[in-house]
Amino acid sequence: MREVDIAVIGAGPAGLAAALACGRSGATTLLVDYMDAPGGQLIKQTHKFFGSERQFAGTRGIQIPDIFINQLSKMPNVALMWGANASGYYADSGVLTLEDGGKFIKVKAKRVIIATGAAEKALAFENNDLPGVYGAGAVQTLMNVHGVKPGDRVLMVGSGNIGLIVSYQLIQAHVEVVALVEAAGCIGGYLVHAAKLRRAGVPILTSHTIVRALGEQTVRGAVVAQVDHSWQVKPGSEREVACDVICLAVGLTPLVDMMWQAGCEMRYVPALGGHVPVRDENMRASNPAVYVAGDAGGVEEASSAMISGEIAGISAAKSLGFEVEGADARLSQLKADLAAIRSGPTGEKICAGIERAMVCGGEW
Amino acid sequence: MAERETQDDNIVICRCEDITLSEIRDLIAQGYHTIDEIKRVSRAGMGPCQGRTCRQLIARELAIALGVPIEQVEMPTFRPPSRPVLLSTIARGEADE
Amino acid sequence: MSRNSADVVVIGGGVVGCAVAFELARRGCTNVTLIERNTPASGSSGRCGAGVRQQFGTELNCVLAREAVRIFERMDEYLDYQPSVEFRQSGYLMLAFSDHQWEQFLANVALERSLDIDVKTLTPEEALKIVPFLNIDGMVGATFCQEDGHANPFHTTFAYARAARRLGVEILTHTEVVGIEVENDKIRAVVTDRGRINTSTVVNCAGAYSGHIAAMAGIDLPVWGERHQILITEPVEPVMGPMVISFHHDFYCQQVPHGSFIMGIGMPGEPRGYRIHSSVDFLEGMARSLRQLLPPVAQLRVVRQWAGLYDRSPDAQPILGECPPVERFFNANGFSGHGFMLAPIVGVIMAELITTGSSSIDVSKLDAGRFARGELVLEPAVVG
Repeated sequence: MREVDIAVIGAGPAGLAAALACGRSGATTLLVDYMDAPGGQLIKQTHKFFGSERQFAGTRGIQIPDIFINQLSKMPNVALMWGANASGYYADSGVLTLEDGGKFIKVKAKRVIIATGAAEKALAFENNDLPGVYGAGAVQTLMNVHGVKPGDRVLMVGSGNIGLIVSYQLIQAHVEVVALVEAAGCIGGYLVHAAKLRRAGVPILTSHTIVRALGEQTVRGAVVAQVDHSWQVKPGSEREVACDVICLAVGLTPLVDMMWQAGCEMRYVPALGGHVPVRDENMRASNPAVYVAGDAGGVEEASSAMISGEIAGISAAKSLGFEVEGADARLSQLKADLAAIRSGPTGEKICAGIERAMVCGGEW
Repeated sequence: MAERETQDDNIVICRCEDITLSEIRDLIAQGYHTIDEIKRVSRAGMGPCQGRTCRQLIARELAIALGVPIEQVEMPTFRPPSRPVLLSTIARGEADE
Repeated sequence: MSRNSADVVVIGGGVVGCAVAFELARRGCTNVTLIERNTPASGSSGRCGAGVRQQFGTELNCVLAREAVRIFERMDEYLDYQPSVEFRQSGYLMLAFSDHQWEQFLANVALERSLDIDVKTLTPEEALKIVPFLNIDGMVGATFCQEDGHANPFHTTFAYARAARRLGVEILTHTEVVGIEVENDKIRAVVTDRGRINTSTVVNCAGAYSGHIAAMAGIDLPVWGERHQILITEPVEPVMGPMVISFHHDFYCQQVPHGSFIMGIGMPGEPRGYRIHSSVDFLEGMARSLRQLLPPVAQLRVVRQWAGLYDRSPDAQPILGECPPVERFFNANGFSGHGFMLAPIVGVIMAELITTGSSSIDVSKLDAGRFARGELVLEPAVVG
C-alpha cells in the first residue's frame, strides 16, 4: 500500500494552496483530483479576481492553477494524481481509497486535507426534473470549459455572485438571459456585477421566484411569481416567461461526504451553506488526522479558499513535525488576511458562520 | 402550517429514486419524523448520491412540519464509496487488467 | 412520556422487539411500552441482509424458521401494511464445496424434509439452471428451497411497529434505558433517560446490547456485539432469483426487488465490539469473492457499504425465554445473524410465554441457562 504523510483531496484553489504548503514543509504529499486537470472551480472562472495581490488580484481564475502546478511539479516529495476520485476515507485505519480509471488504489495517509469544494443546492418547484433545468455550475462548465451553449434563452434563478456572474458569461456567449429572479427583496451578490447585467438589458426581478417549469420533454418556459416577506407566492402574480434553460444559482452547499465518513463532528451552519465540519483555527477537524480547507469548510470564495488551504497545509505538516522557518509568522499573516477578506459588509454573515463552525475556544 | 404548494406530485425531491414532495409530506404525516426513517421507508437518499441533493430539502420539510429549527434535524451519515465503483475494479486493485 | 407504568416493557425497537410488542397486543396485552433509543430499525434490523430461510441443521431451528416463513407469506395482510414488506419467495441456493460439507447438507435435507420443508438436492449443473452465471468450480452440490426468500427489513420492522401502535402499544423513540430496578428478584421498574416506567415484566430485545441491558437487572448474559459488513450495488433488471449462499466462503448474495444486489462475507478475526465503521479489507475481500463465485455481478458498481452488529451468543443460537433468578425478565436476543428471519415466530412465542407461561413451540433448549449447563446448541448452517 502506498504511504504518504499528507493526502490532499481536491485540487481547486484550497487544495492547490494546501499541497504547496505541505510540499514546502518537506512532508510527502499526494494531491488528487477527480477531474483530468487541476483547478476545481478556477477552470471556469474567466473573470479577473479582486482583492489583494497575495490573492492574485488582477489575475483570471483560469490562470491560477498553472501558477501552483509549476511549483508543485518540481517538488520531489509531491505526487499529483488527476482523474483519481477519492472514494473513501477509513478513519480506523487511516486509509484513503482512490478510483483512478480502472484501478482501485489504497493510500495510507497520516493526515488528510479535505478540499472537496461545494455543490449546487437543489430547488423544489413543479417539474424541477425537466431536461433544461441546470445548476449554474454546470452551465458555467458547459460554456467556459467545453464551449457549449446550454440553450438560447435562460431564466436565471438566484442573484448571488454565481447567478450574476454566470448570467454575464451567458451574455458574453450570446445567450439571452430573459430574466433573473431573486426571492429576497434585494440582490445577493456584488452590485458591480448586477450593474453589468442591467446595462445589458436583463430584467432583475427581486421578490420573485420560480413556481413551475413548463414543457413536456424539455423546458420551453417557466412560470414566475412574486413572493411576499414570508416567501409565500402572491396569488395572481404568476406570469409566464419563455425560456429553454432554467439555471439554478440558489447557493452552494459544502461537499462533506468524506468528513462524515471520517466521523468528524458536523454542525449545521446556514451562513456557510449547510453542514460543515467543526474545526479549530488551524482548520483541524474533530478527528485529529483530518483537516478541511476551502468551500468544503464553508462556502466563501477562491481567495479565502487559498488562504484556508495554506493554513491547513502548514498546520497538518506541523502536526507531523514538518515545519519551515517562519511557519508561525506565516500562519498569523494568513489568519489576518482571512479576517480582512471577511471584514467587508457582506462578510458579516460569514464571520458569524465561521464563529459557529469553530470549536469552543478555537482549540480542540 | 405554511400554505401548501399545489401539484406536489410534480416536484421531485430525490432525483436518484424519483421521490416527490407529496410522498415526503405524506410520510411525515404518517409519523416518520426523521430523515433516516423517511430514507428507510421510501429509499429517498439511498441512491448513488446518498442524499446530497435531497437531504436538505427533506430537512426543510421536517423542520416546517415539526416546528423545529432546521439545525435540529438530524442528518444521516455518508458511507464509502463517494461515487459508485465497479466491483471488478476493486477486486483487481492496482493490478493491470 | 405518557405512561409511567406498563404491564410489559419491551426494550429494543428492532424487528424482534416490534414483533414481540405486536404479538402481545394481539393477545390482549395492550398495556405495553416499547423503548427504542434511536428509531425503529436503526440498529441491526436496518442493516441486515434480510434473508429468510428454512434450511437449518437442527429440528428446532427448522421448525421455528418454517413457522416464520408461514407468517412472512401473509404478512402484509396480517399486519395490514402498505405498501408491502416485499417478501419474495425466490428461494435460497446453498452451495457445498467439500464432501464433508455435502454430507452435512444431505443430513440437513433429510431433517428438513421430515419437517415438511421442501428442499431439493442439486448437482452443480442443476444449480446452473437456477443461476446460470454461477461459478461451479470446486462445487460438490447444492440445495435449493423455493419457499425461502428475502424481505425488506425496514418495511417489516415498521409494519410490526405500526400494527403494534394501532393496537395500543406505546412506542418511545429516542429514549434510552439506563437502569432496571429489581427487588427480591422481582422487577419493579425500567428507568429511562426520560423517566421511570413501573413494570414487573421486561422483554430484552436489545440486540447486540442485550448483555448491557441484562446487566442492569443483575443478570450476566453472554451476548455481545460482533461487526459484520455488507454492501449494495446499483440496480439492474432482475437476473438472479434466489439468495446464493456458501458457508465455505462465508458468502451470501441476493438481488432485491429494487434490482440491486446486497451481499456480505464474514471477515476472520472480527473483534467483539460495538463499532460499526466499514473497512476497506471487507470491500476488497467481498469484491474478490464475488468475482470468484458470481463473475457477472462483479461488473456492477458498489453504491454503498455499511456495517452492523450480530448479537452473538456463545453457540450462535438465540436466547429465548425467562431468565432466572429474576422473575419475568424475558430474553429474545442472541440471534447471531439469523434474527430477522425468525422475528415473526419469536414474537408469537414470546407473547405466548409472557401471557400464558408456555408456548406452542418448545424453546426451553434455547434458554439462557444452557451455557452454564454446558448444553450448547450446535447448528451447522450459519454464516459467519
